[in-house]
Amino acid sequence: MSDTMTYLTDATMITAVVPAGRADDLLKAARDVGARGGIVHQARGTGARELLGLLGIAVEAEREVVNIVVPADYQELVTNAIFHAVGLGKPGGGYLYFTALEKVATYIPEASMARLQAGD
Amino acid sequence: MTVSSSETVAFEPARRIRAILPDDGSDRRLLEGLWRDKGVTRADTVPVRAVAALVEADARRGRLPEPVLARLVTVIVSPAEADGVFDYIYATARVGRPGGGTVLMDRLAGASVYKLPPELPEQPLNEKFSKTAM
Repeated sequence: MSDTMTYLTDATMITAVVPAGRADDLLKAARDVGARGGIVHQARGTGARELLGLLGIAVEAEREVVNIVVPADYQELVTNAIFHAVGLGKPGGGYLYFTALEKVATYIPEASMARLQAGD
Repeated sequence: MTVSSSETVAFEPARRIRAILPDDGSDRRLLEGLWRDKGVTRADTVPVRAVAALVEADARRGRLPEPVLARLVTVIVSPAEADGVFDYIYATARVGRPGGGTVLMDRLAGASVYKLPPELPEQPLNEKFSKTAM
């Protein structure tokens, strides 16, 4: 374990809420444009289902919430890729939002740290 | 969005710290330490499916690597406490080891205070978890 702690800044967390079963498509789209990983958890949606009354029974309430951390420079590229890949523009397709992170800390391999310090 | 209310509730600015940790029990130890050492009451942990970031997992071409089970710990603290709690989480959960996870912090516009009964018994969190664990 490293004794020193390196703070990473200029990072963004993208959160997407999509119908259950679409998280892997989303992660793949994000990965294809350079995002390295993410986490997924289950959630239960509410809103349109209740507004539709009896017809709402047909609306699937199970959702997957995906969180992906990307450099702030990649934010637009990744959000656009996600938006189109999982069809967030279609009714019931889901939604996303992103928040600026103040700082991030994680394990950084020595080789990666050397590259960062060299400014590559 | 505009909401009007006859009674104004005072929300305070806050920081949200999230830690993605391996599913090895470190989240429980962290929650217990946060309560004991830092007096943090606004914290929770949920199971998540994680796709590896820095660790290159085996994957067939064009496919995602196999996800692993992980924990997402979310902590809400005041801005004054935030840096100290962030460093505490990094050290206590041993985030600086390979596969140790990630700690993230962002700014919240407002948060409510979580009040607890003053006569709260000193029950170890591990005991509570073992009783409520599924």
